[in-house]
Amino acid sequence: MSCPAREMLDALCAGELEAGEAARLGAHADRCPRCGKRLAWLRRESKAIRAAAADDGGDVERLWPGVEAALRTPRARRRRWVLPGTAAAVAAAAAIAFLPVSRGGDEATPSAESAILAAEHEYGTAIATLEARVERERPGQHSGLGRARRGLLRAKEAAHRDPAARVRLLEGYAAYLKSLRRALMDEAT
Amino acid sequence: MIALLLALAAETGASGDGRASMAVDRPVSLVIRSNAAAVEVVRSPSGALAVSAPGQKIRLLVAGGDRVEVEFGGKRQLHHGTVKVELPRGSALDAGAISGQISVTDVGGPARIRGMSGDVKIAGATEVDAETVDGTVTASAVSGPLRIHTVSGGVVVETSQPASRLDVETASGNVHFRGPCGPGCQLDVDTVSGEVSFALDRKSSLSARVVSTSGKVRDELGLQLRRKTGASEGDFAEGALGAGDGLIECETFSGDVTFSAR
Repeated sequence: MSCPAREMLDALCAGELEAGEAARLGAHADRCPRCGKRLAWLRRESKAIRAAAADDGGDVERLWPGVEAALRTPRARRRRWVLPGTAAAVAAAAAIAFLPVSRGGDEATPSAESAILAAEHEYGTAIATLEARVERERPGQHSGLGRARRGLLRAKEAAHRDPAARVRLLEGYAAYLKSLRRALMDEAT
Repeated sequence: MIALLLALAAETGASGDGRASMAVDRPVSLVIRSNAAAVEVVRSPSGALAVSAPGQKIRLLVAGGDRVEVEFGGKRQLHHGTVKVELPRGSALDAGAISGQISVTDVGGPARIRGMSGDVKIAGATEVDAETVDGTVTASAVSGPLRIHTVSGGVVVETSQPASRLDVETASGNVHFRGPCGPGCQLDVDTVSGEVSFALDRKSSLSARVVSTSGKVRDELGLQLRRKTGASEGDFAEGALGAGDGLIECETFSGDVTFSAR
């Protein structure tokens, strides 16, 4: 079978597919490195979202107003090549800086929708790669990154399918990716 | 004073023949929105503000101060066709489009563009803040800072002044910069998988810091890039040209980075 749409993997991860369909997609993901990575990424997100919700009383929606308030703070121009501890803080700030700025409630064009989906996948792959390195090479040293990641996950929930919010979320991914890189480079800078 | 002038002019600015204009005595801040319509903005030869779109009833609405908004048949967004705008020199532009292209030529003011799938071309502005999803952004002869964020749209920046300030962020768009980089220059490019090229004047003076997790870094300019020892994260290199006045920082995940002579 050809690679399923991102929505199908989302549905698989959320347990929304019928058993036969779920088995078929799961088997494909086991054979297909691209879909396998994507599914692993989605499962990690889902797990982290549940964990973050549990940490805060189990109500993700209740958390959002606080994040949203922080969103109103303009993102300062990030300082480059900073120390990892600071980088985590920068990432945390950036994670909540994807503004729910509407482009007028417009639907995404088909090409824009494809571009956003592809970008989410690309950032997901890049983040998963660098997270694995951080866990391997800098274990336990960067709790700030975890906070940033949880902020991103909450933001992802809030963004849902709004194209403007999803584009802002990509900026959060970019900042998080940068902080992962900072964490890995701390001995070199 | 300008508000009064605009308000008075706005009464006569409405037109059902596809054109509206108003006399102004200084630059304005124009807000214009498009869905699939192309937006072409040029410097006004007469100094007046004029907007034309065939077949449309156009109104110019003064929204306070020097801010002017364009209305097409009672709506704030033109859906199809082409709208041409003549702006007084130095005017600020706030333009948005979904799939329509936007071009801004020689207005000589700041331009804020929010696009989605349409391409954006800006020449002769003082400042640029442009975002698209898959639309390509091309900017040239911009005297001040440029902030360009895209998702997959390409980015092309060409300049002749050595103190460019550029902030580009894209997931997969290719990024091309052409021009000098000297004192005051700060080019900051981040991408996941986009290819990045800096075609620089040989007389440039700059320091460069490049990180790419799996992309390749090519130095055809003579920056003498050296990989930093101890960096576990992919290809992390620093180098310099001349006195190292300007600064180029570039990070990619899988995109290649090339420095070459223009």
